[in-house]
Amino acid sequence: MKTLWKISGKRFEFPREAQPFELEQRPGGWWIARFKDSKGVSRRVRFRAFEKRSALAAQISGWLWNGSVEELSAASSAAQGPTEADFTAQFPGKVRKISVKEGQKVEAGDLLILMEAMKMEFPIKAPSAGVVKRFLVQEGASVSPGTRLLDWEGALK
Amino acid sequence: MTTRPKLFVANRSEIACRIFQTAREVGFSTVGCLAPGDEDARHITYADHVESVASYLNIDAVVAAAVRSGASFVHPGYGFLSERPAFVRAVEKAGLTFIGPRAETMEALGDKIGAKERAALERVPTLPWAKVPAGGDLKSAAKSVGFPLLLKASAGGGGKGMRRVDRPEDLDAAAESASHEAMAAFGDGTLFLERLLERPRHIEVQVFGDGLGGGFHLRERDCSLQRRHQKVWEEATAPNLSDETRNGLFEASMRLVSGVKYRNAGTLEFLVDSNGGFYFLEMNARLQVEHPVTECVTGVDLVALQLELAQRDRMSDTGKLSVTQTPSVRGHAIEVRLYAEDPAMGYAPTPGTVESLHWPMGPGIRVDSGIEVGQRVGTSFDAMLAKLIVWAPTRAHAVSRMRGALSDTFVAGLGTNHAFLRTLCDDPEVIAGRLHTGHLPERYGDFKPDVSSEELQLLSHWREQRVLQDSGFSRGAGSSKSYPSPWDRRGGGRV
Repeated sequence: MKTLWKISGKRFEFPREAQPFELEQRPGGWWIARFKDSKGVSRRVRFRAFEKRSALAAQISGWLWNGSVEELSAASSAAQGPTEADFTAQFPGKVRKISVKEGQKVEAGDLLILMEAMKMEFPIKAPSAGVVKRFLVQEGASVSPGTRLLDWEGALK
Repeated sequence: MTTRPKLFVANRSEIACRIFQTAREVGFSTVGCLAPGDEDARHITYADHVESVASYLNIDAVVAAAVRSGASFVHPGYGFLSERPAFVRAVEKAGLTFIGPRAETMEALGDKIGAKERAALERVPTLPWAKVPAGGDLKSAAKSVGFPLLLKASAGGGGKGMRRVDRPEDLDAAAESASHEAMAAFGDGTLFLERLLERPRHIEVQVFGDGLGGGFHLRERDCSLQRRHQKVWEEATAPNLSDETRNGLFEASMRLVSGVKYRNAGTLEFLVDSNGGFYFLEMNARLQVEHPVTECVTGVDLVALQLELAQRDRMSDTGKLSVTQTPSVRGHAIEVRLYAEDPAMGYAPTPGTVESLHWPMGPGIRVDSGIEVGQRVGTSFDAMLAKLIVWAPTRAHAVSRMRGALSDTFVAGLGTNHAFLRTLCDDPEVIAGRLHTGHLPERYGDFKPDVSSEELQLLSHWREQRVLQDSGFSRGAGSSKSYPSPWDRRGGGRV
């Protein structure tokens, strides 16, 4: 089992074995961590974190990250490939243009669908090389978050 | 019993809250408006009184709400109806005072072409341009303007429908796309072409006119750090700008203010090239999003001044305003815009519910926020959550203060552009004040999150501990809130 933190499409793995950290909960929602860094220097780090369902937000070393926590079995995490989320509408919008044909071979980064939301355009690109089996939406269609946009040939993670 | 003047704010979120605050401080009672889908918005909580409207863009509904509320003054904020001459006329016809320029001024300056022609009349320099109605002869217009050029919707602003075109053969594709967005956003597919400067700076001059031809400027802002023509980071005053350019900008701006007898607060936007040459882009006939940086360095409350002028006009009082000339500048101010969007995913909107929130505080820090814990942030309205503004005695200190302020900012429950803003505080070009409009797209086209393994270890540890706490394995709520390592209790708390 692997625990991943997916931020902006990039996955970070939480280490199973962590070095000793001493955590202190402070009033106001802050935490203090005390630990020795890789060079053996004692450090004191102030941070904030919030987790609800699978959403994890953390403000650490000055940067704020919002992402989702994924638990993956070893087998599925070994397989490289797109996930269902890659082809699911993340926000309400409109399908402006479908750029490839069903059954067409595409390369990673190829434009598949051009979405439109808040008067701006957002590309849905191929996360890896592969084949679009079928589009589940039509040009001009309004979609709500969670709508699957297409079927991908091969298994999704 | 004394009656307080009543102000209707025809806007929402942070700018409505910001206007309410000053209005209340100078003796007004405030009315907010509420459009369907915006029930959670912060300004609804902060208004003294709320009127419902069908839409923030519906002139009849908004004016009717203002009249119904018994208000005598209407502040439009920015965006929505703020630069619509028809709105100004409807407000004035209903016997209310509009806080902003006259309808005729907006008409003269509202569309980019009219503004350029008017500016040229006042000897304000502009870039070569052309206007092409939907289906018109784009090719010859483009040739006369020259490449590279910028293609945009003739109506509206805010960067929507803008396209860069480098070669004649790319013209048609860009025109189709830009025209479509222009139609969707403004219902008018007319295109506007303008010569594109390479790596210019975006410098704007804040002005205030008395409506009689008099007025003064409140110096300049640098808003060069933009993505897709949306401002991200704004400063007052502009770093590394020669006195010659600065004075040229001020003089040109005041010629236009006086030429159109500009009334109330406004901003002239310019592009400045690497030689210090400047070109007028457009005039924003309203209070701007980034007005706080000017307030910080000049000590002038622009909203208070707007209200003061409107009150005098309503009472036909032609006495002097409390501020009548360019104030001296003290220190340096920077503003960043916190958006619910993901810079690593093409700036896609990241809606959600604000689950946890913490704002920075301390010397020289100002937060103009539109959000609260528990508030649902959807995609029906603008994705800006708040503005973080810092002031410090020097620019270097201001950048450093912004770094600290962002490091104390926490928003959970929805994605934000925070990491991107925080990264800018460490950017050597930003630190050196070498700003131009190409910087963000050139440097951050592939912005990606970056979490160190040490931070991941720390968070992993925190998550394990939460599991222990939740399952009753913590040491209890004693005075020492230090918890044992989960590794001492392996197999105990973990589900």
